[in-house]
Amino acid sequence: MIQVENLTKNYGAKPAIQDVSFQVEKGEIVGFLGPNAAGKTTTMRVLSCFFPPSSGSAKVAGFDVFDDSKEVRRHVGYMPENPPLYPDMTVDAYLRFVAQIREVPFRQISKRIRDIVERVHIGENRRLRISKLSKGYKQRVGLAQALIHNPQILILDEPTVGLDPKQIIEVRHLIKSLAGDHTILLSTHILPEVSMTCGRVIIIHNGHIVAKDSTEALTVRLQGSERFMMHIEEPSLGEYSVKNIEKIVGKLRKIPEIESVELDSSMPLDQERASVGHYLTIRSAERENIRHHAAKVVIENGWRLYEIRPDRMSLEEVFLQLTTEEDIETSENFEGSESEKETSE
Amino acid sequence: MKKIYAVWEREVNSYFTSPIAYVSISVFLILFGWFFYNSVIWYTQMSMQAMTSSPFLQGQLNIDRMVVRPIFSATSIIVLILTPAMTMRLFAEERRLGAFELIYTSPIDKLEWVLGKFAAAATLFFAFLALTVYVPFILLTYGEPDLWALLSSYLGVFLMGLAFISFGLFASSLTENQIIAAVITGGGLLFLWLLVLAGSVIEGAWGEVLLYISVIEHFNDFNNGIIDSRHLIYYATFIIFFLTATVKVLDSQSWR
Repeated sequence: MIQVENLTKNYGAKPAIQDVSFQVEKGEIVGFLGPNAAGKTTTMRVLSCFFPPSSGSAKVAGFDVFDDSKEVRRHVGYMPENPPLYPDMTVDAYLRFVAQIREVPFRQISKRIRDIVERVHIGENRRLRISKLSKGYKQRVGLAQALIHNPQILILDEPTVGLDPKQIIEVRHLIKSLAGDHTILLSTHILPEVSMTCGRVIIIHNGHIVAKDSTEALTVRLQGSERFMMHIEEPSLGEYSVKNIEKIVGKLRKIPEIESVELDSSMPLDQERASVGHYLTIRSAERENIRHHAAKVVIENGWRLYEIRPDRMSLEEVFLQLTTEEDIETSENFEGSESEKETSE
Repeated sequence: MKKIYAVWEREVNSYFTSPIAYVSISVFLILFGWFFYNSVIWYTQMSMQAMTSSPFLQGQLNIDRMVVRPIFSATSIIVLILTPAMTMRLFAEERRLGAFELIYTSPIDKLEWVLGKFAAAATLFFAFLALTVYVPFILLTYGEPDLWALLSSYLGVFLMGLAFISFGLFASSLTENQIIAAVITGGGLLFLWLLVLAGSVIEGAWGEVLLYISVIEHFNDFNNGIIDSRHLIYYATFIIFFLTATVKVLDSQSWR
């Protein structure tokens, strides 16, 4: 659906994005991840025909963004970071206006507006002026304008920015519900958002793509070992001794697959600490699941096991690792590392 | 065409849901009425004097020359002052709101966008003039002005207003700051207007050229009841030139 090849866009002499290549298949939700000023918005603006690329090519819905720009615009719904709203219009009038300039057939406009308004849950505010709406509602109106002509492709630039947690969840659900019918490219600098909504992620940094893969694969690839966390408590608090916890840690360390056991060191080991329980971070050498071994050891020694959960490397960590790696590489071998990264996928 | 209509509808609604339309129409009507009142008073005083003292003066009195023409000359000045208010917002505001991103990523041509906005401003200006019809009505009821001179004056003012609007639209496309757009519009139009002074002082071909460029020079004939194709062509060219320039400015945005 979206094919981008060696896309470069310069602002003056300074490149905002350089040699960006990627593809998005039909029905996918792809997250475009990067810190601020990494080139996300620039790429999206090229894809939505806001401005032409300096070099390279991009095909959206089978049409070239430069040669068939009007055709591309017919098939794309674009929601910029700041939704392009007219504060003096009502939601209804605004959507009607957008529907008209986006070539929705006249007879279908009212029905489309009704559907969209329902879908993004702004029904009760249809007759209000946009200037009276809260930030969250404005954001949803922004989403509604991108959807009004039922585009094959949705390009959403930071769709959840500035929303409260409840609204963020709603918008994410909405975006997920749109997948399948629509191909979605969304950008964000909030990492959990990508793991929650997107099937694939493209990480961009300083105008270059540093990684592209499925979110799980990316996490696993960057993580050599399995890690999990345990919350345990000593059975009797009568005779407290540091030795007790040291004993159980020692026993856990004896399990052959376990590489290391770390005790949460944020609190001193004293009576009070013992009453809260201990948090252990356990790392195994192989990617085998050894959680049940550890659990068994804890139970057999009479300790209470409250919680056990895998502690995967978060996307934040993945991201930091990738972007810092890239920084080192760029300083040494700028072009080489770039093409390597892209082909290594 | 449908898209031009959509833009037009949006802009007209925007004029009339904000105070812009009401304030500018009120100011226009007050000033217009004031000029009308003064010229009628002056005309009646002259008539009284002529009746009592000088029969010679009586022959000189002419409602077209003493009432109709001054009113429309004054109107052209009011329009000059009010044009920035009508046009400064049109593109500058959109640029500030980020609405450029909506328009540029929609399948609408810049020309359609410009024409829609031009038509909207023209509609507001038409409302200005339409609300002054009580004046010719009073004149025709109580006097015998030349109907054709009245009509051609209206046509002249309307064409001149459209030319002003096209210039204002162009100025608004240059910046996201409405005040800058207003200053460029007001200053630019006044300059084009005042060329008539330079044109009448400078002799020879250059004087002629300056006179031809001056916006007001082409209005005078309309005011005298003459509809000359030269002036129609002048205003048409003026409007087309500035609308095209606006489209070019908007197109060039994508390349920055």
